[in-house]
Amino acid sequence: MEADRDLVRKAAAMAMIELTGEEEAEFARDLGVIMDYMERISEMDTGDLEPMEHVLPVQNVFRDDVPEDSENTDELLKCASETKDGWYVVPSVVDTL
Amino acid sequence: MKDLNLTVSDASRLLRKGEVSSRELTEAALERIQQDNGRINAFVTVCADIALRQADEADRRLRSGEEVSPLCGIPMGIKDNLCTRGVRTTCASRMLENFVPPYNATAVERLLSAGAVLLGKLNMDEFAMGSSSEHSIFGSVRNPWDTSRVAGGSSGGSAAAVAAGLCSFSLGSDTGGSIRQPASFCGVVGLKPTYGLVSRYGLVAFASSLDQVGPITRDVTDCALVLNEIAGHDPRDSTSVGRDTEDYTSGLDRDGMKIRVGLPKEYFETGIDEDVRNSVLKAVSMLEEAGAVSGDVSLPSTDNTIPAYYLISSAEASANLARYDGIRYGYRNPGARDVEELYRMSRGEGFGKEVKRRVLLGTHALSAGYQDKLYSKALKVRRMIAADFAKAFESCDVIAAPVYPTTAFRLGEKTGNPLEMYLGDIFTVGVNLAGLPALTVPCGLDRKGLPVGIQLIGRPFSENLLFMAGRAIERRMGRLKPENSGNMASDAPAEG
Repeated sequence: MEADRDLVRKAAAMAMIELTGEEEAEFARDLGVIMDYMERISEMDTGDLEPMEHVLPVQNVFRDDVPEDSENTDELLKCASETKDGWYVVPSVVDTL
Repeated sequence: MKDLNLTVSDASRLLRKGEVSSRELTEAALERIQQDNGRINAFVTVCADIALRQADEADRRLRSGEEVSPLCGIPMGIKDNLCTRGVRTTCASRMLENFVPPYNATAVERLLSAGAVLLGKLNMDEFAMGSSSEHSIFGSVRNPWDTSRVAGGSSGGSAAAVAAGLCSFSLGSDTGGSIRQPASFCGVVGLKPTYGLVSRYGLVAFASSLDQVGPITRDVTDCALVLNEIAGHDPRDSTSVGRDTEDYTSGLDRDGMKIRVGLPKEYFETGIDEDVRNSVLKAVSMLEEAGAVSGDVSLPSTDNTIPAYYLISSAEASANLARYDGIRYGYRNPGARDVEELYRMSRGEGFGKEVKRRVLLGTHALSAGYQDKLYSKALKVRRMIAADFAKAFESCDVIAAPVYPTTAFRLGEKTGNPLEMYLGDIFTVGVNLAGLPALTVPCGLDRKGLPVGIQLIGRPFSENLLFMAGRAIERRMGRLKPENSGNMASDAPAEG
């Protein structure tokens, strides 16, 4: 149980999701059960099969670099909660002296 | 009084003859939504002004005598994870509650260009993660056949709206069964197209190697008509396939199908409701009547499809959902003191429980020390699953299967047990892992009077064959309709 709670804390830190103590306990319980089931896959004999990320042979798509109209900047900025003078506003990322 | 609650093909015929206008169809649909949506909670946004404007434009095009699509003037609903310009697109999440996209998804854009009328947006599981449409900030979708039961998910709103006659057709998305299972629970037709056939541009990404957009309709012909409009290469989606266009409606009413139908023995062995099994087998006998021969096939990796699917889809989701940073769009915590806190708080408050659960699962599966054991292993099993299907298709042309082990379950029945909810997806997720097309068609009612669907799985790009097989069942079955689905004319089986 404590191991499951540890798993949840680590994953939440990596995924940058703030959890309440209650959520932490609930997810630890759920993920404990879910992982017990999912881990059966690690015992499968998959021989020398290559991992299959995609069903199609996905290749990089090259094209000439020709300028085109794109979405309107003002409209895109309207989707943000805080903007100023055409910029997104974020909390300060450098310490003030 | 005119019956204005019509299939796409019937409405299209009347529109062309000038016997009905798109404005009349649209006003009637808006009225039905007003009357009936409270009961099933399918629409989360209704855009009446936009719809009526589009209807008038469609009427102008129809009157002008120009060549128009069969969808011109037809009212539709769109799942709320497909971007609609100027109409909020929420993914049923607090994270995107106020998100108004500045562009249309390609599939939506194509339908609008064809003249289809956007009535509004449809409820779903948050970010398409779920099998019951209960994980939504707007509350659960309820099944029009029995409102104490789920409509299925994640495209529950799309299926319920079509079944209840609130729109002529809808779009859904299918990552692990999210079109097929709700279509089956609501007694309507749904198609998960071959991976790459329909552009994913503007579909809010869940698991990019599995997601596909597809139609939900009242009958098979309508499904083919909608696919005709939305299929095709899109330079804005690098995984969309360049192929010649095809008329998916051609030859649908032909019988004498010399096809081989395979029944995966693992799907019929255990854990499937007797009524579901019997209805599916009865539909297979209808295919035999139409000229098909059937036999067993084997999909030996079936037991491992759920772990492979949930590990891969959650891993992809954890990467795709990293974009929600609270800054450029979406929910933002107003009190954060630094950037990291802004991310953590905005994501903690903006995502619902099931989304968090999957992101945590996916993050864990990709983390150092677990990636080889979980994520990479799942990708190897995915190759085995795809190989199983390829092998099965050496001895058959279409695989016939149940969609879900049971019919629609009760609201709240599985929300307390996430693993149990995941295990139900056993018959649908393999198709996404292998990138195959699959059609679900209603094939009967269980003893509770709830609809059962059959799933017809094909080789890549064999949608036309699936429609032919689906139509052969539909012609013998007739269409299933819940009571209270407006004034839809009842239609008896045409033959058989």
